[in-house]
Amino acid sequence: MTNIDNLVNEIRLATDFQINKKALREKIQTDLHITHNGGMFKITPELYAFIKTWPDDEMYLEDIYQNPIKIDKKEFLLTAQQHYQLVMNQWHNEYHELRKIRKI
Amino acid sequence: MNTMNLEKLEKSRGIVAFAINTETTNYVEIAERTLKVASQTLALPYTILSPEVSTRNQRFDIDTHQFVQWNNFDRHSVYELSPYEETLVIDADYLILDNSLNKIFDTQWDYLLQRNSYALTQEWPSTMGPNSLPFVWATVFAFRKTVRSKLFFDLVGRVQYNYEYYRNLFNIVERNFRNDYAFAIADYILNGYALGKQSIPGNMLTVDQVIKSITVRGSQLIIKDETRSFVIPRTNIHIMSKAYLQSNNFLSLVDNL
Repeated sequence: MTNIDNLVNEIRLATDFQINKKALREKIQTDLHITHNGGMFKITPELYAFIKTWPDDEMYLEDIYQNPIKIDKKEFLLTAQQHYQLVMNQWHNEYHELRKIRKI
Repeated sequence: MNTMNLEKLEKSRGIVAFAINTETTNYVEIAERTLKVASQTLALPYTILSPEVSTRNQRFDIDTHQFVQWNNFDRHSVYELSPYEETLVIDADYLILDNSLNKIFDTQWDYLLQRNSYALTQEWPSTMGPNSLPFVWATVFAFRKTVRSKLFFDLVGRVQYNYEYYRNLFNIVERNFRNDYAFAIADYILNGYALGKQSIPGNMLTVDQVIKSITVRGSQLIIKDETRSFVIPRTNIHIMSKAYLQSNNFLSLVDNL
């Protein structure tokens, strides 16, 4: 195998890892969604922190479909924390598996 | 018409796919395979619709590199033909491997489209032409039997029957009729000539190349094509290789899921 063939193979392997990594991230971004009181929310650190700092137990929050949804703060935070942790753990584990099969 | 599960329940929910065989592709067999998996994954009943075709179209086949017969018309009739109050509609070549789509039924909408998609080996254009609307993907969508949904599908039908006019009006590059285009136009009009925001969450993965095999390894799928292997999570995938979907390899995958 010539130098240029080796180079092509190495670049292809590196590219494949980036594609695999992207596919995993896309799946995780989908999994981060939860439903609450008829609304759909994507759990992000920003959303979680914002609700955590809200002083009242009830609030209205815009969901991903641009509808105002009534939120029970305690219930939402509990669900969001559990869901976020579950999905991020899954991401970490699956990313670790991907790295193991990475050649470059 | 070849249908199953026609009994309508009080608040019924199910999966529907259109499948009309052509000279080169056994869509009914493909749909039976993919819908079996979808039904198991989402715990929902399914129906395969095979209405009489009024007009024929052509698509480029990635396996043979030729244009082949394609019966993609009359998708708008799903509103009348679906036996369910809440329907998830998928293309026969859409493989549902995770239950994320169940979440959408807990929220409020009349119809819900897939607005984002990416492919393993190429970048999709973001719009239907340089000065046209953003892409919408009719590969997977959901609707409830409401007045607004009825309006939407009536509009999709109107766009289909007058496609040349709407193609010019919205600067669509491709001459061939695609449901993706008709859905995007109807949605735009129904939103008061504004871009819609409601979408099925996530980015639909399209496997856009000729496939040799797909195997399951734990929570991962290993997709092999002619030259490369991709390791992706167990997620919903749109498989464009009809040759693979009709192969014994795919049958084994479906049986072992």
